[in-house]
Amino acid sequence: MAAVQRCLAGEREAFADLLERHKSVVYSVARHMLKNETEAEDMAQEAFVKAYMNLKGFRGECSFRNWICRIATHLCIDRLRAQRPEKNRVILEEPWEPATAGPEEAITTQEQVRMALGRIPAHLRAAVVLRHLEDLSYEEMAETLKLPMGTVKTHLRRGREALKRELEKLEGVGISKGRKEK
Amino acid sequence: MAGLKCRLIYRRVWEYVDEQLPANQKRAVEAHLDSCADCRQLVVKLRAEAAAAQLIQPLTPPADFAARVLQRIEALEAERSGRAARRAFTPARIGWAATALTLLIIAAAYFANPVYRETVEPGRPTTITPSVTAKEKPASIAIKPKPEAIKKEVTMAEAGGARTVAVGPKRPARVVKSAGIREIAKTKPIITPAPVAAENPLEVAAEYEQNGEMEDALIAYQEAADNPQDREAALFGVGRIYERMGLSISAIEAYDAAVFDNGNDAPESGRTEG
Repeated sequence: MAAVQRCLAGEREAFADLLERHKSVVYSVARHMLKNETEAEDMAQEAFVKAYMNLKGFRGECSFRNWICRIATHLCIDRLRAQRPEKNRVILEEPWEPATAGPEEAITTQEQVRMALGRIPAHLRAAVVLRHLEDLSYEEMAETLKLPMGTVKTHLRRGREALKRELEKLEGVGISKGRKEK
Repeated sequence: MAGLKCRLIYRRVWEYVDEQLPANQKRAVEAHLDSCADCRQLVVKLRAEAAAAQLIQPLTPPADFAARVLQRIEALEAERSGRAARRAFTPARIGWAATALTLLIIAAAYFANPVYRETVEPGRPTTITPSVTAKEKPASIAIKPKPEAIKKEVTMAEAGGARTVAVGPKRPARVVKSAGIREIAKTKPIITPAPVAAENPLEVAAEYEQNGEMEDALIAYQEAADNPQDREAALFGVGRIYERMGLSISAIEAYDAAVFDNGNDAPESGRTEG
């Protein structure tokens, strides 16, 4: 909040501090919600620009981190809604290949998680990312997604089931690939 | 078959795993878990799923990410200050002002046209008065109404084309106007954009039911029953699900509640059939 106050007082460096502190989580929200890397980076940048332009509207009811994550989430949701619904559900159709051809240890967990998230429907993905990356409560999730709380819980539950299933599939691919090379 | 308590716990177990339950409910769930192996197994499964989701961690943005954001902000600020410094009379603003003035003149000419000064009063001759003085010309054209309703065509440019309004001795002018509106409404239906679809628990429940996911459908119908508007349909849904689950007594209870709704909660658990 102090950094925000300094920023409102006209200190440009204060916003640079905020940017440095929160860029990782904001970028991650966008990167996990949108499959296209360029689009995700663009949305993350847009979230910071929007936050800067609307900083006066930030009343400190939640943390700056939550506030900017919500901005990023809304931007990503709007982007997903603007796309055709079936496109949201398109999963990475190309067979998953690890970034480096080597033993299974070389395949990073984060890479697997991102790939698995990309394979689940967008509405379930949004619920999982909000809960587990942004650490929102059910109420906050319902408010952010503009959905009834029961629906949010269902999306979260189904999203986690689907994520675990996809992770298991990917682990299967990784292990078999690793074994082949041994 | 799961007992009454298990079904009650089933609705809360996700919140328990997510640590979102109030302390008293948490204690109740834990007390049940101590005595129920099936529910303990479910909790283990859900914890494994939650653990998988916990693997989602922040990613590292590209190295020049912050620099690009600051660049965008600087560009926007420069644009903003440049805009403020510019004078009011930019070519674009002059263009807008000219357009507004033209529209104003067109509107003034449009309403000054005598054709639109129509006066219709009940029981009196229908009179169309052009905007000329009586001295210039006795311009009032009197049309004597017949006892039966007379159909008179009045061209109304503002209605977007020709239309016919019924003008008769018994009809006051405002009725004529409203008839006109109705006529326009008939020919030009007002299309309102469909609202963005928010997921309705009832629809979610129906989807589950269609997919054969009975327990999910049951929960969704029970949630839908909280909404007074959907209560009856939701209770019928609950009954249907119980019926499909072979719990005929609970099904009958749900149907009863749907038909003779006395404000009680939706039946929450299937009763074991005796």
